Amino acid sequence: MGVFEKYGIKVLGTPIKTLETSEDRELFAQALNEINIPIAESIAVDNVDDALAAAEKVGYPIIVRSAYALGGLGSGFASNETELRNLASQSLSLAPQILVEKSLKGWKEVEYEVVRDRVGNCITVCNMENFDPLGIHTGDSIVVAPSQTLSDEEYHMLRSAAIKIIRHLGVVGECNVQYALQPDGLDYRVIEVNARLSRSSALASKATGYPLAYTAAKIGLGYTLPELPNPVTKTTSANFEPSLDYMVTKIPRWDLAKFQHVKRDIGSSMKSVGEVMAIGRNFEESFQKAIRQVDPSFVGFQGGEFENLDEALANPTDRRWLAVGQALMHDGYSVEKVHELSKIDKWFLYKLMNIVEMQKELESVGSLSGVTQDAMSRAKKLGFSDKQIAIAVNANELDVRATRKSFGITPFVKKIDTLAAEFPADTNYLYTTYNASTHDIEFDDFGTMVLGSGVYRIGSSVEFDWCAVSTARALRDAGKKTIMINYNPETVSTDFDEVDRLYFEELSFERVMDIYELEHAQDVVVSVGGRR
Amino acid sequence: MSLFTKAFAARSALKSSFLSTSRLSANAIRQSSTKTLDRATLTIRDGPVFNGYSFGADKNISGEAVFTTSLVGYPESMTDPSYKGQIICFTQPLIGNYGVPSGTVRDQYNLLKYFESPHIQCIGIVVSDVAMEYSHWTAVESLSQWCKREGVAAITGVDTRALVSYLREQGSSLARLTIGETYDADEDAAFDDPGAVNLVHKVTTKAPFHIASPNAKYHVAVLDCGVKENILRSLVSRGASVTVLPYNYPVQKIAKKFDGVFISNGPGDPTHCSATVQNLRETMENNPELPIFGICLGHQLLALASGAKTIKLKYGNRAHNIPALDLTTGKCHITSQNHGYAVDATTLHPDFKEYFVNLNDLSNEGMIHKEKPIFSTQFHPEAKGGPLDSSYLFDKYFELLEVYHKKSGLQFHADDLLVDILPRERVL
Repeated sequence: MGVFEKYGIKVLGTPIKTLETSEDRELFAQALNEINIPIAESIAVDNVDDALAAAEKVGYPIIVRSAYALGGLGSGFASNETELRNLASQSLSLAPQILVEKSLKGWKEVEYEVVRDRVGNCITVCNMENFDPLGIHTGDSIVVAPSQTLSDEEYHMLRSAAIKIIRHLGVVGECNVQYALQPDGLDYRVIEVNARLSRSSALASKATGYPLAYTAAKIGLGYTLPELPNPVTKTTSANFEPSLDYMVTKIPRWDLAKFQHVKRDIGSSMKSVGEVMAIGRNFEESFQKAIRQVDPSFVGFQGGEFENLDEALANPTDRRWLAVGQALMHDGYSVEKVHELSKIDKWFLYKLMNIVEMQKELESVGSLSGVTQDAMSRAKKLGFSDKQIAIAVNANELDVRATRKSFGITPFVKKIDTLAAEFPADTNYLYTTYNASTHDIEFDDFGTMVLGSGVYRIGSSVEFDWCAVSTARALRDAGKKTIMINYNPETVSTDFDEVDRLYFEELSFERVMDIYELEHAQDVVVSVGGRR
Repeated sequence: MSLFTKAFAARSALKSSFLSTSRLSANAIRQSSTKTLDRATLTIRDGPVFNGYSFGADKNISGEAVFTTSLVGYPESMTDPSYKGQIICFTQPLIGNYGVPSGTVRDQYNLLKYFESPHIQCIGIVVSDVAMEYSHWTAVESLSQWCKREGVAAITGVDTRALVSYLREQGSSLARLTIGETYDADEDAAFDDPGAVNLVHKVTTKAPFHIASPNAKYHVAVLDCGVKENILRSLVSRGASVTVLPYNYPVQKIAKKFDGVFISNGPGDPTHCSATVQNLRETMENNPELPIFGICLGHQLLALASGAKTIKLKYGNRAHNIPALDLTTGKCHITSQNHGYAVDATTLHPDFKEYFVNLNDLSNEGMIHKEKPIFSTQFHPEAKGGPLDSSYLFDKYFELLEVYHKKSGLQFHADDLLVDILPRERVL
């Protein structure tokens, strides 16, 4: 007798059987097979003929792994029968058994957050796409939301599959479905299904403004989606799918440099200790913000030193985006070449080239006085910080700030409202952007600002978020209007109901001053603990 | 490495790139930056003016400005005849990312594989950040190239959220898109109002055409008010050959020869199609057992034919995320929508009941006859773009076709309707 049974405890929400099915590899494969949803299959064989038969079943190209060999001995790729025959006979001379799998090298990794209620109503709250191709743990991936390179056909093919899966598994609440998607066709594989709130759900919730945990809890209690209101608009239904009129970039924070002798490559097991999320109205703005949030020593998209750049591009590590920066910005690599080596979708690389070109344009200007209003405006729209511009034109940050303001170039404040302004929403969840011409809000609160503690890293974690939240609560109790600035999607301080105004933003001098000036804030609580 | 040395390394890395600016000239011709684009202006009548850059055809246009909150599917939306004459603003800020697929490739049914009609139907588009360079395996050209080739004006760099907030408060508005450095207010006098003309007349096929289904079991007459390719595909792939008729074709005269009648989506005000309404009224009266299904404008025309009234919505519903509650089952579906008019549910004929309702604004989303095999939806079960959740409604229609077909014992004679000599695609 299980402990729940023993004490007569009722399990709400997703039934235990669903969890068992989704966590057990074999039951899971069987369940998805029943509804014709393809999963990444691995077939164990001990002779060449079986290997060829297995390959016919899963489809070429094939990756062969030796079941009991160390260090990848006897593993390799085969793109047709002849190649596989050679590879398999070679591998089987080294090991008694080999695993035949479809090679998904270079496939896109995409995930969906799905919600289902007890009567079967389903919504997908958010989808996300990885910057890196398949192979990196989702917690270690640079992720954008919503997906940017998927067509309507691809987007809805995977959305429909996600709904089919959670209906079949009987999820009641929230569920995450991860896919590998063919980059040059409509083939796909389900990688895994997490029938629970996960780190991805927290990100999806902050990325869309849709309160996933709240809705999942209500559904667990027996409510249906049509019965629940959208808590952001209060007038529309929770049974809808958020539409984003911005995009977000998540970048993990690795602290690998704090350890000696640690391998920096990333793959199927997670090495990051925290993550940041940045909001912008184009990829460049969102990506450059995120880079600075991960570590303020980065000024934005930039290069780094690599002994072997091609290798750094081909093999994912915590520093791969720096290798992409080095290749595009300094070493003259074309988008095609970086794509060939890294398999990162060209769309991301084209967008990064926009940053590279802006950088070079500023450098060729060479002085702050030579920067025109137009160039300054374009740089800010591409997410350049004042400091980044200052370095490019040999000036200092404060002078760039003064020049920028003299041009009348300042950021605009926009709301995150779950439905792209289609209905009025009285939300206090905010971000700033230069890709705008009006503010969504009025600045008449004159509140007190509290700066959050940023990304979780070794030595600074949730305890310092508690400090920030407690400070805001104390200020509220004292009758003050509160303004929080933070960019860590895993925190309570970025829950929009904790404060009067939440800016999901950088904690740089530049951005804090921007917000301070816009809000005419009364006071600023700069630090409540933590260390830098 | 301390923070200071890290920052220093970053600084010197950036500096070193100064030496490599010679490559700038090679890169400078990339058509990616707004630097290379002409200025453009979007003016809302009696409203705000937005400055941006032109990435489409070099011509000034005016029409009704509408917005869609769909995240994907710009090629499908732009070729959807329901957008005829409109200026579409996309709230998804990044548009053009996956380029544009071929507009001539056809599938096994001789239907356009990627487009919803052969050409762009809207006259202009408004976006925040266009992708001048695209990446997708189906793409053959960029969004910019496509717009230029099709003569469609396009503006990027617009605060689309500000525009949408305005349209939401003021309602659908007439707008003007002008290309060029200077904006001339004097030229600003005229705004074309597509609502004043019969748009359906512009998009309908000019003569009947026929799409044969392999192993056809049924034969359906489709009234083309601006039909999307995927509606035809949804019928043909399920086993119905379709004969597509111009919207004002007197379908009542030949309805008996078909297993069912379907009324398509289309642009504009349904009250402009008075002949269609009259034809449908006679069709329903004379063929009480004939299965009839209407989508979007087709729903509104059926409602008018049965005696209900339609209203103009303040700013319409154009999105892929709209909840439609099935009032007969209590189930809710996420639906794809694109309409500026709606049926007033309080005016439905007593023989009909409300089928679906929009959970966001409580507007009508469909009706169903209490006895006859007639139903219609405001949303788009065929999707393209949008969610496929309600495609089961086509299956439901086919169940009705099956019942009627068995009862009527109707046999499809190609000679009877001369379908053999009909064209195999739209007659433009």
